[in-house]
Amino acid sequence: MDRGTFDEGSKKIMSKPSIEVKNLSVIYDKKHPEKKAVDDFSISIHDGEFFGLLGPNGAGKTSVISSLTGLLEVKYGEVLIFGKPAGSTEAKYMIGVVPQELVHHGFFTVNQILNFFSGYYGIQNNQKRIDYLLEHLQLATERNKRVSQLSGGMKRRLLIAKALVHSPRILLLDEPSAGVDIELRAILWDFMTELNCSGTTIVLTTHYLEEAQRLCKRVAIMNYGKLLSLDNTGKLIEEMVERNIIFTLKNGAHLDPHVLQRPPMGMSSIQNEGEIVRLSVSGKQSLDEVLQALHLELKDIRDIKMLEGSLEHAFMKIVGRNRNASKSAVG
Amino acid sequence: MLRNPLWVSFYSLFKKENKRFMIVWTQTIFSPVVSSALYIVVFGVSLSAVLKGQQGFSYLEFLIPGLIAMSALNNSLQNSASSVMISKFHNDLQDLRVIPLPPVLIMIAYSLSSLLRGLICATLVFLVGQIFMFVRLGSFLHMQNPMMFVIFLCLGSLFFGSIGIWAGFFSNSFDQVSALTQFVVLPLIYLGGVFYSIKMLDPFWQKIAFANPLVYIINGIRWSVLGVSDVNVWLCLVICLCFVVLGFTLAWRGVRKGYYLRF
Repeated sequence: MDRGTFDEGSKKIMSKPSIEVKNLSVIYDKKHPEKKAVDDFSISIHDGEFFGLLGPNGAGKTSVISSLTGLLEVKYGEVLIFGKPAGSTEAKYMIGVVPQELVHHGFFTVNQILNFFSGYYGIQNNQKRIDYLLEHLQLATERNKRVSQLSGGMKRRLLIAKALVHSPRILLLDEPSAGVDIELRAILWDFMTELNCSGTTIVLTTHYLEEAQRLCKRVAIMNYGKLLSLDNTGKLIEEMVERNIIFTLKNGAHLDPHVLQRPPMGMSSIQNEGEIVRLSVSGKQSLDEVLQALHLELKDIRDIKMLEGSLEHAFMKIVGRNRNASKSAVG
Repeated sequence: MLRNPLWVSFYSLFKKENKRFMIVWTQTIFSPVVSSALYIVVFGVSLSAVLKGQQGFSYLEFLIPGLIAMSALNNSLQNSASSVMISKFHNDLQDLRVIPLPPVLIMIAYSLSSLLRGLICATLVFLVGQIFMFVRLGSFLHMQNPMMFVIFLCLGSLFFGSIGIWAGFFSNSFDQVSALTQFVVLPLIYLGGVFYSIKMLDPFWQKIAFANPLVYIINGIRWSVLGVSDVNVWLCLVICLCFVVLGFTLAWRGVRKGYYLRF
């Protein structure tokens, strides 16, 4: 597991950790301390990073987020926000959080809530920033509506505006796109990318893994409260998921029957139906290496289709393996 | 202009709490004043012929300070308790854990907002009482010690406001808060001398009554208005201060250790 390196190809220099979690454990039921929502969890997230925290339901993602924000008191382990203990006043100024569950704020309008929130962070006369956020989150026309009158998607966007009124250095997004339609989701992610480019560290938990794959430079996958994998998103997919390749051979070209009988190293499920050859290869192999192993040359090929692996496949593999390991340990 | 971020933060929460009860003023201000007015009509006016005056005053005069106290205390408690519970129900109480405001300032902001609602209700009940006084007796009630009146009102409201915070943070349902107000606080208010002098009770019940903290608050307020009290006014003041300290301690613990999640 790679804990030190991060996105060497990135133009940004990101060495200073914005978030450090060391041996964090969360126990809700004091009578059963062996039941841990988070179990000896450690990660370090760099300043300016777009980081994904993934896992199935009940994996402990929200407990980790809650520990970062101060919503949960850190009792076991250590959580630091730019070197300050999570939950401290200094740390709270640096964090904006979008919770998983919707908030109603029944009595107040959108504009009032955002003004109160600016005040909570010590900012007076913040209307310019509020207008900017409302505009970017397409809530400008709803500013004088009561929060109780907003739709689920609008409430979700209000939560994002609330988290950003004080221009935090770290934004924690706990499933922010749930209940938001496709068009608005795209607007939302464009805005998040813009924020990240301007230097905001973003930690995202989501069940939409294609979003995480597209946005997050690094992802951590957790299950049963434990960290299962922490890596560069591309590298993780490359290492965990095989690519499917479909060759269409030219007339006269054919696959060596020995290759079919004994597939070369790093390849599996080679099928040959007439001029079509289907195979799966590990992500590390280049096309040249594949052709060489199949005793083919580029001139034998009429067409190539490559189906790249996805974060979803990597996720399923890692979580599935962990689930099987847990079952066999119990058995 | 507030410059210290912490004070801006504190003031924002205080302002939000005040705005909350002012938005629903018909429930939070108007309704309690109407019920106090009804008490005055029923007990102070309609039944005044059969109810004896107390401590040298007509029953209407005796009743008004008690009702002022009852209104202030009850509304202070209701304000903080219902604000916390509604926030839990709306799922926004968790915001208090995320914002950079220390628990002690959260507690003070909620207490001061409760105090403000208590004072508004008390002032309106006082004005309604004055109208009835003038209509019924042709004169206004002359307050003996306005400063002490404000001090006792503030101490009582702060104590009840802080008890409301404590109850709100440690309750998991509206029923639990309602049980506290219906079965503990309201009986203490009614038995604390709002409608009668404690000296009317037989010695055994008088001893029991003096264990009720409300006796000291109500008597302090009555002394400030009428100049008469069942208990030494300085003892009332000391006991009220002690209760405010106790209330603040409980409320602070509620903010630090209470339940923030939606029920």
